[in-house]
Amino acid sequence: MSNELNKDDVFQAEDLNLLKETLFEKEKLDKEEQLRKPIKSIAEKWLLIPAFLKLRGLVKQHIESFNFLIEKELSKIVAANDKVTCDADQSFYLRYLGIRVGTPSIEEDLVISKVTPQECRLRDLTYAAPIYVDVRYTRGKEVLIRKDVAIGRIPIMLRSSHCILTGKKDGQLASLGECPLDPGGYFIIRGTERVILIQEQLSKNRIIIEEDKKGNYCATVTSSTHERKSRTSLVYKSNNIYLRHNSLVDDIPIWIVFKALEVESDQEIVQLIGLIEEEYRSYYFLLNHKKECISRHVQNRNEALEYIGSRVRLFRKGYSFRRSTIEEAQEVLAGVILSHIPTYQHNFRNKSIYLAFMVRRLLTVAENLTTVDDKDYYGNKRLELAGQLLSLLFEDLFKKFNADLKRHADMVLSKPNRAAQFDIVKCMRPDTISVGLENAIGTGNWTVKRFRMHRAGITQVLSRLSYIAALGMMTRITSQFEKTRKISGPRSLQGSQWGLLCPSDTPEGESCGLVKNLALTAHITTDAEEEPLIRLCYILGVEDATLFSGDELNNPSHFRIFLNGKFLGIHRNASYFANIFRFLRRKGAIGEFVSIFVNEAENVVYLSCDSGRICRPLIIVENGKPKVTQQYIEQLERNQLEFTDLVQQGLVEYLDVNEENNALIALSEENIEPCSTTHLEISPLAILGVCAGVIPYPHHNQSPRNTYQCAMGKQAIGFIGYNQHLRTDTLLYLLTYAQKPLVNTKTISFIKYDELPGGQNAIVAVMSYSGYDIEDALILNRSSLDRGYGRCCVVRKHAFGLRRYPNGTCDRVCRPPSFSESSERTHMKFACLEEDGLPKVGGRLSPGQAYVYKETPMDTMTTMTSQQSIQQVGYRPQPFFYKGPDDAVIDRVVVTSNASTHALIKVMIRETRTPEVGDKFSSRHGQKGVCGLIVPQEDMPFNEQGICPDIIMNPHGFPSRMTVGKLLELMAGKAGVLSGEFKNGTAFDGDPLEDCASLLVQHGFSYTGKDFLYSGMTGEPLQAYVFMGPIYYQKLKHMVKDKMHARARGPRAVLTRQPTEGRSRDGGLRLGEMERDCLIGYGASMLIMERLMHSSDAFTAHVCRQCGLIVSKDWCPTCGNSLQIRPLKIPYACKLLFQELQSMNIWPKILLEERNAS
Amino acid sequence: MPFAKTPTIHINRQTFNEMDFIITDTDTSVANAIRRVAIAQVPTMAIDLIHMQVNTSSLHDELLAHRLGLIPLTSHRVDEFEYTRDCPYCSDHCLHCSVTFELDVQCTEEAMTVTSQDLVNKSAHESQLAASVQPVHFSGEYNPTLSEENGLNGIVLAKLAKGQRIQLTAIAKKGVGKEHAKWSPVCTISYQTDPSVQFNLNKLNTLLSEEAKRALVKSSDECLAIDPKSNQLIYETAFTLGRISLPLDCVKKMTLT
Repeated sequence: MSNELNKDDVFQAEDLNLLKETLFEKEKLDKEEQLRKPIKSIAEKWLLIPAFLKLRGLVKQHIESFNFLIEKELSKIVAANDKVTCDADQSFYLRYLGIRVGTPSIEEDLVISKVTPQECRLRDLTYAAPIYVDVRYTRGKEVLIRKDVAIGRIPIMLRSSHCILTGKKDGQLASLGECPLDPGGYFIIRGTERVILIQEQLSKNRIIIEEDKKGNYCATVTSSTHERKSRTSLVYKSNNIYLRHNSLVDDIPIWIVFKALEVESDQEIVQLIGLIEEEYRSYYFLLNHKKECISRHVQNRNEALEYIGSRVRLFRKGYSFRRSTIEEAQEVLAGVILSHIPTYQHNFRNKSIYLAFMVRRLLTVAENLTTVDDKDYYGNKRLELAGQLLSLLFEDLFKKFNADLKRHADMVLSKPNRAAQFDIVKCMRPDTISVGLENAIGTGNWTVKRFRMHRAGITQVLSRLSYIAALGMMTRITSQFEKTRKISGPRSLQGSQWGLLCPSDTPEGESCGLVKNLALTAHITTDAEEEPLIRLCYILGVEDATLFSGDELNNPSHFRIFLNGKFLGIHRNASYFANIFRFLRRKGAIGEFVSIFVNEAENVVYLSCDSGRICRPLIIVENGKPKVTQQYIEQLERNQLEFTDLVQQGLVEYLDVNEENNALIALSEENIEPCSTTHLEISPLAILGVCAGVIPYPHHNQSPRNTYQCAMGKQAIGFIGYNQHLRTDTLLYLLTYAQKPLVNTKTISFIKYDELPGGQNAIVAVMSYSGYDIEDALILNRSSLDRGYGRCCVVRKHAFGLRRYPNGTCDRVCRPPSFSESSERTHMKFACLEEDGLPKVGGRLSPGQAYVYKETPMDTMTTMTSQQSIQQVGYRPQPFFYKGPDDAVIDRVVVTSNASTHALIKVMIRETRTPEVGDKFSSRHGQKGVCGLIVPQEDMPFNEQGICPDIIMNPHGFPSRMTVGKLLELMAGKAGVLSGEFKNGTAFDGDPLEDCASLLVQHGFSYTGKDFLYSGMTGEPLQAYVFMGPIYYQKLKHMVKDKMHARARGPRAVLTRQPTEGRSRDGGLRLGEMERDCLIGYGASMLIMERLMHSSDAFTAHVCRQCGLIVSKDWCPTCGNSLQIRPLKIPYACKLLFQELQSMNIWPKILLEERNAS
Repeated sequence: MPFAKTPTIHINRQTFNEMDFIITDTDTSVANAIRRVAIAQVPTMAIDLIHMQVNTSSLHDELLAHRLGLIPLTSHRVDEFEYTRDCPYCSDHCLHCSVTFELDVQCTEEAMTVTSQDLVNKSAHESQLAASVQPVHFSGEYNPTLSEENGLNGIVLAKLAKGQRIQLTAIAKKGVGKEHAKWSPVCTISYQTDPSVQFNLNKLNTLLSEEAKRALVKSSDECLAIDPKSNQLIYETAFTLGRISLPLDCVKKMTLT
């Protein structure tokens, strides 16, 4: 902040000079110059970001999208599919009148009770709410209205409008077992938390000019309506334009299409397309088309329809009646091709105008007047959120539900005499919808039949490794691109992603650049109503296109107006239209997320109010002055204002990617150009996302380092939530003494990372020590570890259910034999158990000891007749033994039940670990390293104050990595520690080095941050000054204890008799192909023999010399004798291969030679 | 090591928990040895074994045990204790080798803090020696006037919410810092070597004029003097005995003259 203040001082001095000048010359500055005066920077402007986050939050896009689904979209879907009729009885109908979603609940033993998310987590339930509909239907002759009929259950997103947590205060949340800092935005399906990732797609209903596989230009539109998705392209090849569509067998010359669309005269076609200036080749194109039409004998509309109709691909099979080709063609043109442009009563005018515009766009590219559209441009992208994805799924399921009802009604009503009156409401099975939704979210497989959509991996389990990991997951965006394709376009950072997507946060490797993360202030829009906008457009002077001739449409001073890809009409004064539109939006007359973009090159104004656009808030600048002034910021600080107020007062507005093209956005106040600047960035730190926001001084780092940290921050062990001890996660890593970072960033405080941190401030000395620090290894101070540095706690869940078998018997947990037997071994084995067969909480569990004594019935198949015989069934012990490298402690035992299991038992087993050699650590600058050596404190170097470093890091880590941010963090941290305050290392801001250096000097340290150290071993001063100070270090989840593995002998696979694979199965270490090659090259044949056979799967086979087959020891069935059978040592896998070959009628012969007698 | 066996120690300052001394006539290695031994090999008492009876607090048993272990205990009579491992009087632990503490706190109010002051020495009434081992409740400079109101709050062990309870027995044993840092008696220990300044008096005497000599003596902070008989520069006796040292800025001053 001090920096900004200094600038202020400078400005004031300049002001003074100006004043003097005016006094002397007694001249008034003209207005222009007054405008040129530097604008005073708005101090603490960044306070808008927390205000924004309070309103929109980090996961608000998920929540808002889901709320939109529940509150609006569901009723729309129902309205679109509101009637179920019956073929058998024409008078029968069922009409949906309304739909609503209840509160989350579960039904157990016919009792419906409310449920909390925490209960769902603990009991492996689904956090879902019932969907109720109101219906009017016929029962016999009566018409009935039934209200609140449950048709299924929909999983509820946490913190959405229907979640019970919404609106609760921190204390109330705590009493519900919920962490107040948990962002919500995910679902709980059968106890696991699942996130629907944001899906990136190319936007629908927009014209995109691209090159197809053959290098031809084509204009493509993916039309998407509720019923249908289809792709229409116009292809420019050999100076002709053709229409290409899935439902057409062949490419159709565009001239024929126009004729079929009731534009019969050639002049009209040309006028509709409109000629592009100085364009000669298009005349050829026209000529070519004319020729083509003649050659194909298409002169009028009927012939054109005939031509198209004969080329329609028929999807329907065995349809009862066949339509004529002309009807077929009309049907396809009206409903399938460019289906998003509606056709009313076979009036194709709109469609022909749209098609002509596509031709025109294609021609401009073909004539090299413009280039093809950039598909990676972010304005061409739409982000699909939980709401949209669920609505697709719900509509499909709802249709299926209705189809089932119809089938049922058909079946029952077609029967001539029925016993009871048919009541359809009683046939409603809620399972279709409940199970469909639950399974889709639970597995991530999205199957939407009507769009033939099959997508896997839409949802993922919410990573609870650290708080940052969970947050990072909520802002993640995945793209539909194939990961295997080696293309750089979609992977690279696009200029249009500025401020919307984090430039650092992307994984390395195959999905690099395809998986992205939202920036801090990015917001994703939800659908807004189109109708009022259309009306407004007409009021503002948009004229219906159908009223114009082609010539007028293409008048260069007329702008076409598109709303969400649909052609509305034209306007004669686009800039006036845009200005008044924006004015109205700032006044709140139009939704804040509606965007308007004037494209001067295309003479088009694009309006959009569709969902999935990504936008961000900006401060409006008028006449060179930002509209947000200091006074507003102060009010914001005092909570007198909220972010919405600023939007409503027209001080701040949201711009989407397209509209940003019409704006000139200044990065800071100094950059404001008096006449041209339209907007001002809130703060440059907002271009980074959540994960990158944790890095101090990221603008001083080499960029890949920030990317590495974004990936590593998610692996850091720390706090997970305030409810971490109440949770039952499969694996939980917790740091016992997590600390707030000494060098803070603003993002850290926005996202509350300082309340749930993931690391510790370690005193780091940058020096070489002992040689155990090469290749980024770290030296740790043993005393620091003794005092709790890097100490963590690993809690593992061991869950199992008690099953109930079909014959009425069930598993049981009962008294372990140690209570009746007295053998030493049994006592040892069951030492941790109490009399109920469950372990004692707080008890110490050694490897090999049982943590639960379970018994299963011997007989689970035969049907039991009486209660008594069930009780007489014998039980087989099935204790669960703890398999861990070290002793552990029983943390908690949860005994509960749910619908699928008779009893559900979860045993949480806890282990406390101190760092050991081989554990992985990392700073916040992508500098990871393993612990190479643990040194006693007395051997560590120390300074004259007796301070020893906690960590010694090798200086070779710096030159090639260029993580200057880490050096700055150390300086700032050291200054902070000496002055007793947290320092600020925010991106593009942060406390300057000079300030930190002068603080160091004030406290008697060197301004360089270097200290004079003595060797702990000899006591002599070290030869050089050592850069030493605090750096925030994260302990990563990779610990040797979980990885360490060796085996001398052990289990083998059943089929091949080779050693098993993998640590979890106590597997062997593979001597692979390359290792084998080395041994061959070296010539160590006996070693190969030993490694590959004797130590693996040696087998003594018996081979008959006569027939060469592997036979039994004393009889060859092929030869019918036992004379020539010899033993032979071969790998078992080899024997297996021969036998498998035999089973395929191949005779593998082993030819043996008699060993020489010598 | 020229003076390894005959070092002299001059104590500058000694308070309850801090000491500042000058050691002369020895080598740095000896100073370092003192430092290393102080960290690693000086025995003290620290809590080593915990029997957890009840722990319904939000802290795990292990965490609580670790925190208890790090509480410093007064150890001025530590030499009279035996190491548990070679205690001749017992096989497990006894009053000769250990001190037993108890902690039993239950929170009845909204919230409370458990501190080292809640530790009760159970062996105190059994032996004088055991009674000498008490938790140290403060950090920083000891001040006999400290009380709970002005800073003597004890070391925080845990915070309890209403209804939570901790009940445990802690056994303190004798040990050294080498084994675990909790037995290390020092917080920080270090030394600095004073630069030894040697004047080439012969050369100075031959090269410098009388006036220059006098100026040098003036700026030497009473390290040098002029022998009134021979008018030669000599060391001041206090300096040769090491009673005064030559401040660094003084050297600078002298080089300027």
